[in-house]
Amino acid sequence: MLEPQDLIGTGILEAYATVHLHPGGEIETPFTIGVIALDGGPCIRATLTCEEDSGLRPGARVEARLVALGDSEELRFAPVNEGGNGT
Amino acid sequence: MTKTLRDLRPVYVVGIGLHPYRRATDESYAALGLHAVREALDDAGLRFEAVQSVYTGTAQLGMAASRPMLRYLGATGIPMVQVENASASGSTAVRQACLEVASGISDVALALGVDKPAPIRLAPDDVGVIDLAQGRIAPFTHFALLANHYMLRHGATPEDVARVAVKNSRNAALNPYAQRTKARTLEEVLAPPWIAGTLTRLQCCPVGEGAAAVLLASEEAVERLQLMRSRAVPILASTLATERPGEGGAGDDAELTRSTAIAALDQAAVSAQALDVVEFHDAFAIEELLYTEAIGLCGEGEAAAALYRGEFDIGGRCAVSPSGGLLGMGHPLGPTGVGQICEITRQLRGEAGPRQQPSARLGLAHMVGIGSVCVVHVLGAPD
Repeated sequence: MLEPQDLIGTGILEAYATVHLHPGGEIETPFTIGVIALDGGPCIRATLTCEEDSGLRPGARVEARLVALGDSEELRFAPVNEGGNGT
Repeated sequence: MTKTLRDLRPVYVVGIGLHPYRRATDESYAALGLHAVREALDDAGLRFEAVQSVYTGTAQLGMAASRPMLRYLGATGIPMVQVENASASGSTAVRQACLEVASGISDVALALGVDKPAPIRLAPDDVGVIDLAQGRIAPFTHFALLANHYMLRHGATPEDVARVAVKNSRNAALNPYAQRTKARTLEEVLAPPWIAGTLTRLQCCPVGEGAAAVLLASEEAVERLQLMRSRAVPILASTLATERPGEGGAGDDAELTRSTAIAALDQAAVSAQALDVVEFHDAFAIEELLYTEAIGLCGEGEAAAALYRGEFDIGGRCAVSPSGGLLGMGHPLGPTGVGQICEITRQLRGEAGPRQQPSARLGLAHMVGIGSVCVVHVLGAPD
C-alpha cells in the first residue's frame, strides 16, 4: 500500500545534465535536470531553475522553489546562495 | 521445487536470420519479418512445417502481428504469440521459445523480432503518480545523468565514454545488417549535435526498422531432422528479472544487470572472465562502461581504461558488441534482442567473417528495457 510521505525540500546535488533535445517538441530546451539526495532521503530527479549547467557543481546544496509558469506553478530546485539559510 | 533452464532438456540455436536494420521505409512489417524467417529457415535447413510454436517480439506494431505475416510460409495452425517487454521484447521472445523447447512442449520453436517506428505510448506514464520532472527525463537524459555521475565517481572524461561509440561504429562498419555503416573517429563522435549532458547524437542509438529470427530446437529435433550438430549452438542459461528499489551506487540499471547476469553465469556454471563475446544493451554509450563493470568483466571504474587498451575490441580478451551493438547496428526494439542471439551464434560457430572473435567459445547477450526489466542469455560453442 502506497502512502503519502512528507519530504524535506533541501539536499545535495549529486549529478546533472543539460538537455538540448527533447522528444515531442512540447517542452522547450535547453533545461537542466539534477539528481538530488534530499536531506533525510530519498534521492530524486527534478528540474533545476537554471537552463544550462554552467556554474553548477556536484556536491552543491540545493533547495526547492515554486516557480511560476504561466497560470501554474512548478517545483524546481536551485543552488543555495553562499550565506543562505537553506530552508 | 522450481527449476532453471539447466535442469531441463538442452536447447540449441539451429538457425539465424536478419533483415538489415535501417531507417523507416514504406515496406510492410510482414516483408521484413518474412525476410528474416526465410533466412533463418535456410540457415537451419528447415521447412516452416517443422516449426511448432512462434513468439514474436514487438513493441510498436500493435495487436496481432504474427499470423497475418507468417501465413505466407504456410497456415499450419501452430500457436503464435506476441511478446512485449519494451527494449527487451525480442530477448523475452527468445526466452519464451527457449523455455518451451526446454520443457518438452515443442521440439522446434521460432523466436522472431520485428518492428517499424511508430509513436510510442508508455504505460508507466499512466500509473497515476505525478512525475516531479514533468516528463522531462527521456531515456537519453536518464543515461546522461548516469554518465555525469559515473564521470564524477571515477574521474572519467567525456572522451572515455565516447570511445564506446568509436569501437562499436568500427564493428558495425563490418556488419552488413547494421543501420550505421561508417567507422567514426573520436572527433566525429564528440561533435554536436548534443542531445543531453555530454551525450552527442553518435552516442545515442538509432531507432529504425528491421527483423531478426532464431530457430531453437531440442536434441531430439537436431537428430530427427538431421540438422548440422557442428552449427547447433547450445543455450546454457536464460534469466529475466525486474528492478528492485534503491540498489547500488552505479544506478539501478547496472545493479539489475549485475544480479541478472550473475544468475545467468551461475546457471551456466561459468565465470564472467571466461566470456569471449558479449552483446550489451548499449542504447547510450555510457551503458557499456556501466555494464562491463556490472557483470564483472573488469573492476569498478576500470572499464574506460580497459576499453582504451583494446581489451573489448574484436581480437581483445572479450569482444564487446562485435555486431556494432545498439549504437552501431541499431535498436529497432523488437528485433534487437533476437539480433544479439544471431550475432553470438555466428561468433560461436566461427562464421562471423571480418567480425570474428578468435576461438570464441562462450557468449552472453544482455538487454534492459523500461520498467526496468533485464534479460540475459549465455550461449556455448557447438559440441
